[in-house]
Amino acid sequence: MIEKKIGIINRTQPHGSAKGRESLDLTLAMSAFNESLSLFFINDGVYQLLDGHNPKQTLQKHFQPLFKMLELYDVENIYVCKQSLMLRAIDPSNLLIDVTLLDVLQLKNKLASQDQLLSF
Amino acid sequence: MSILHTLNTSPFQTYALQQCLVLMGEQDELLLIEDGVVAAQAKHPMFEQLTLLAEQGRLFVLAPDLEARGFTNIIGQQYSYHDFVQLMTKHQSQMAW
Amino acid sequence: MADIALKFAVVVSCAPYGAQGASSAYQFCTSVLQAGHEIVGVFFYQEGVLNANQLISPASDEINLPEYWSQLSIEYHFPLEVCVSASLRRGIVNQTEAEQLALSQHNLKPPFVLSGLGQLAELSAAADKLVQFL
Repeated sequence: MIEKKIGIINRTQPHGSAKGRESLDLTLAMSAFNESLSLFFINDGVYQLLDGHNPKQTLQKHFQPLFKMLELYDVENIYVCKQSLMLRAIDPSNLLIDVTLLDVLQLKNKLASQDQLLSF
Repeated sequence: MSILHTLNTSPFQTYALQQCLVLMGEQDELLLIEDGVVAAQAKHPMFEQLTLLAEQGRLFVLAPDLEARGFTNIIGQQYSYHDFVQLMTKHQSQMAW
Repeated sequence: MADIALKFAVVVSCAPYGAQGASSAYQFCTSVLQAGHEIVGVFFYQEGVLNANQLISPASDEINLPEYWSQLSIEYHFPLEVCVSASLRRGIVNQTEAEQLALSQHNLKPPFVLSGLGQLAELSAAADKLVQFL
């Protein structure tokens, strides 16, 4: 059976909900079983990758360092929406990890090429 | 491959509908469910865009959710859960908003 | 009836009460089965793990979604997999975990089972269609 291409879409800010953390947990766990994962960061999800999180004073889990595991686990298809970054005045150089920047048309095409999608 | 987008929040509540419309491909379709059904009924900033989608036959609204909320006059096609399942057989994947 | 029977995997990210998502997921599942398709499994993640809480006690004139899930899964022979890490954080515990963690009680409703996220990978691999309810 050909492996399914799974797209994991992150569109929520970190810490206000556990979606970012639990999405990353899921990604890392699934990467052990599936080598065709693609991660998408769109809308507020881009904030998850903004370097410099420090939730110490909020009681929330500091999960940002776990993003470094993606490279270790060979999750390389990490796509970030250019427009979402621009709207939020985030310079790509301020992102924690290496990513591929996509414009809306490229994003649409990448999403359409997935077999299955999960949203957080 | 095409995507069935499902949306369950009101456009008066979140930007999800707007963000969804930006990312919809030409073959993609939109099913409004739960609180999302109000988008087919009320005049919000994206209503014109939704009307266009409805004219193309790409907008569906889950009927039980309309009935639950007392909405009658809507754009888009009213769909049952059975139709929802059918929609999923048409599209490769689903994106939940 | 379906022309071709497809295999569905459903992911539930919503609690059984307080929002509608889990109910929508359940209704979708019954329609999938009525149309002659197969459900390879339902995976409960994030707040969805609360669907496995045995202690849920709705009023007599209200639905009991955990019970609905149980009965559907038994009748149609598909697993109800609940992510173990998401569960423990939210107070859904089976007997084994309760003993290991020295907790006074456990509350995982049979036939729900605690699973790793790897199970979701299995369901995804087995399914033609993956549908998620937030």
